[in-house]
Amino acid sequence: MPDNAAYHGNTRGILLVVLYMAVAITPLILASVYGYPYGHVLYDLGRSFALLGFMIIVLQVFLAARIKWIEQPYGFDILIRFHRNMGIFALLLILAHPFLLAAGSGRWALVLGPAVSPVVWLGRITLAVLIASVLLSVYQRSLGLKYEPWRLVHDILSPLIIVGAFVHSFMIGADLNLALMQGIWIASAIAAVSVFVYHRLIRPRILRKHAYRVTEVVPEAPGVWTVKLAPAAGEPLFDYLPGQFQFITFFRNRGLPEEEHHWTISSSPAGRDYVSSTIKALGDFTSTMGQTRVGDRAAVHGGFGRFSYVLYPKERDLVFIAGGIGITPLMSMIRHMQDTRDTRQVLLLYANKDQSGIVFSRELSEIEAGGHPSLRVVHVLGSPGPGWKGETGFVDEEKILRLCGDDLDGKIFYVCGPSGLIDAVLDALTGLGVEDYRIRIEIFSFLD
Amino acid sequence: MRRTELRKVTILVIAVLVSIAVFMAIFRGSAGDSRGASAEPGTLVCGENARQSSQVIRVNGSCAGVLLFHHHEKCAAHE
Repeated sequence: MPDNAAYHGNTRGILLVVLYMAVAITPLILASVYGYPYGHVLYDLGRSFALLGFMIIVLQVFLAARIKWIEQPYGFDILIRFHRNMGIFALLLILAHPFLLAAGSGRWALVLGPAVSPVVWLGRITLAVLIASVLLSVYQRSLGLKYEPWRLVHDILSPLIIVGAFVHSFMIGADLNLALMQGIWIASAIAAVSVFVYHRLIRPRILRKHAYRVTEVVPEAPGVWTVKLAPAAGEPLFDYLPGQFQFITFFRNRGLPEEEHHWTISSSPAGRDYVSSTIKALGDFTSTMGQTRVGDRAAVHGGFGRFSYVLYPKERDLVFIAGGIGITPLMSMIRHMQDTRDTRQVLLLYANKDQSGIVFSRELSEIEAGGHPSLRVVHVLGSPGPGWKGETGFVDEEKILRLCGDDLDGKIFYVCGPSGLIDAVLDALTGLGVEDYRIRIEIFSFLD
Repeated sequence: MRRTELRKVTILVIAVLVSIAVFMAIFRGSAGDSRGASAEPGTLVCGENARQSSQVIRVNGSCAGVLLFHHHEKCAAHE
């Protein structure tokens, strides 16, 4: 397991935010102190927005590049949402840039006029590409765009935006006549492109070279498989915390697709020589998981996320609420508690449509009987088959309160499952007066 | 909950950055005036102070953009 101290990152988390802002505003301050003014505040504001927008675009690459020391204090799901928010912010800044220049100088031809220099046209084209990139990201689902083609387009547009913005600003920006600014601009562009190239081209090749091997494929339920992966002989298993997720690219040949997907880890990191993900057939790609064979290879990159009880060792009274295949990170934590002979109290509310959807049923019963952790499993089925005597319906306020013994004080809630279940449970917990800090959720989709 | 914190941090970061950008735009104008570099495009480019600045070099070279073109235009009118 990785050093937990790396994740207890309040200080590092705050420092990284400060560093982010410092990097973003440094060119702006230098240009304002050493550069010459145009003389109209709107014009100068237009320049400021452009400088700030460019630096935010440069920093976008660092946010998305899966750099662990940046990811650990926040979790990848949060970091990628910040990346998305700042992308929208950068677009607004850069969108305002030509309008402010035009308003400040009175030369509105700058915005729409055709008779401008090629460098201005380059700026316009780059802005159009940035608008397209942001809109495709924000409205990916509404547009019916699947993750893989969206990501391909994003990977093509992103470097174009950086290079286009760099060339435009370097050629036309009055502030870029300052030698210091030129140095910062060149260094920023080189750093961004280098990190991008490493993230999208070099690291995938390194991971492929050190590919893991599928050691077992276990059918868990109809359309659900656990795939166990082990590193090549003599190579170490990567560090992860129970509850984290990993990126996997399977190399199975046989005409099966090679796509990178992220899945939560279902295994415990304690004393095991493999890492596993339990995968449900929910789409075109995951429907092929049953065709995965022992000996197939896979590039594995992990672990990411902060959805892990080990980050909060003092919390002893936990309530896990899982919906369907959302059980996997919770199972990883329960298995880890078993492996480490942990005695904390865990109530697992496991929601499924019917009995056929339950995975890990027997193992959960065994752990429950073993006493490590002090686990109580309650299945909640929406449409149970005949003979079911357990809980039915949805995980709502009444069930949560009753099953928790009418006492929610001090309990920490971990919620994982489809978005409908998460939203319903969040509403229920909020309605029951559970404070935000006692609710932990994992957001699987990076684009929602 | 981390989503709430994300919202707060995002708003904070954006507010700070926009505030600094606005402040620096205002500061730039006042600092420029105090240095004697007039904000008037023609004066800035044609004046002796501006002649020593890097901006003039760009203007005397190729007129790459609207701002510089604007200056150049003013210079031509003055000269």
